[in-house]
Amino acid sequence: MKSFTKNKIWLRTVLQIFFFILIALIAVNHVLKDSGIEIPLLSNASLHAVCPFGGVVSLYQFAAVGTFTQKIHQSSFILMILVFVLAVLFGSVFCGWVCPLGSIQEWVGKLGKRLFKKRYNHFVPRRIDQYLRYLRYIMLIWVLYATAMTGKLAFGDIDPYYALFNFWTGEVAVTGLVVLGITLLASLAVERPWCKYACPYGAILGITNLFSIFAIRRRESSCKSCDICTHECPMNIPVHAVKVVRDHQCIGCLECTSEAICPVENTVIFATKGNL
Amino acid sequence: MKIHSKTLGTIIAIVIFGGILGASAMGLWKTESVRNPNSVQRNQSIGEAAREDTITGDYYPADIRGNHRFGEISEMFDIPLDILSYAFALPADIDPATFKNQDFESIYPEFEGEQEIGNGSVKWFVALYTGLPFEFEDDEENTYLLQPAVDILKNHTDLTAEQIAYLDAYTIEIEFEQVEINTAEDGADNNEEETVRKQDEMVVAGKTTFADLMDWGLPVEKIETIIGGDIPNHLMLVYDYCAENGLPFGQIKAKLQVEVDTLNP
Repeated sequence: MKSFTKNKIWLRTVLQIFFFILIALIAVNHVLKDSGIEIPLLSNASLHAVCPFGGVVSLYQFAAVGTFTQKIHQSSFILMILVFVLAVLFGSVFCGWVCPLGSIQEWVGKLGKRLFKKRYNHFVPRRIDQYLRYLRYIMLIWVLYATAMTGKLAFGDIDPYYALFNFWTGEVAVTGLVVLGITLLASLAVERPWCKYACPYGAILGITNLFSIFAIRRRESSCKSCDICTHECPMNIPVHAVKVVRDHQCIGCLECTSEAICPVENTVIFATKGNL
Repeated sequence: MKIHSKTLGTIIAIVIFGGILGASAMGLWKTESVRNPNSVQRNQSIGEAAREDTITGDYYPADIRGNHRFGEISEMFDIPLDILSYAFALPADIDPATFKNQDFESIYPEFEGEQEIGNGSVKWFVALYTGLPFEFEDDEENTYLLQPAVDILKNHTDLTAEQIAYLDAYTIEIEFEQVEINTAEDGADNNEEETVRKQDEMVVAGKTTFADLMDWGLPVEKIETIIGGDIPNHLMLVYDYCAENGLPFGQIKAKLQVEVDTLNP
């Protein structure tokens, strides 16, 4: 048996930092392009062109009239397909390993952990929280409907991801900055508040957790029911109480696994069905 | 099968970057959009004769940057400064020689977003004026030209009927009063024209969809009467509908504009 010492899923942190810096530099390069000074070997595409959710919101218009929603490009479609491939295989790992907005919430949350200790990520009463988790589906339906009806990026003015990487350009709507500010502030008390309650892309990727080929699985025979996996889960999923985590909120971070926090070897694992 | 975090991370990176590389190799990775790809290409040159006359060194419209001054552009492409000033309706208190493309935001804040006047507009104008090749960049898909610029192009260059129709679709019609101003900088009585802009927000243009028309209050029946058929999809551009059905966009646009103006006086 291992001790309760947490092992770091270091490659996840590396990828999160890498994608955060990459997107930040692309955003800077996009603005620099107008002044003739560009960062060499780096794309100067717009943020919309490198966001897979752009592909999702364009689906209706693409099917109906063969064009993309304004500001959305073919690259968004490619990324959407690639992320769906990952999601069918592994669930919404994009949220836990790639998404820069998720990453920054997580990093701000580390400060929140120091501030609030054990109360961190447990402020919202469970009976309320369980319903709030479905708000992001309302957001998803609204975004898809409004974009389909108008042919414009309905989400653009409140998108905290766009605000995060463009706040310095003066091109961000005040509403976007407000949503970003609230998200980061809330991250001090709640882990990944935007992901949990509002992210429309997380909502759609979360559905793939219900049928993805790989999932978090718990071996009941060796489990000591210490609940440490549940306490460690950033999305407050009761991992200790299920055999397979099919929760739509799981972000595939692997922080609950035997590789990270579970003290018993080979007990909480990320695996296919036959492995247990 | 059990998967380790290192394997998962590696697969994520491979799928994303491998997918992008593969898409690039197949020519599918496009971070920019060509506006109305089935219609007239805006980078079409306007004739070899014009090109021979105007090519200056190795400069191309794509080289124009936001920090370029009108004075520099005038020298680079041999376009008179007063033509540039008139085309972009620069206010009289601005010195066109030192005016930078990136300053459009400050003088035309209303032309941001869906109908944009900016660096892309200057590139496009220069390309059509000189006949030099040019392609729009990603963030220039909403680029428009002001009416004075289009008037200059129509009078100065040999545009094809198709190009004129395309230009009409991407023109911001502004009402402007010509005011005589004595520049008197060189002691002569040179007069320039000042343009005073008034923008009509509900302007039928190339980026107008049927949904926009409906938002502006036009009944579906009225629109269908004007276009002479059913609206195939409310997200469709009016321009695309006209192109597909062989309708003169200029005339349809004018009729729709009359209805819009009647409803929104």
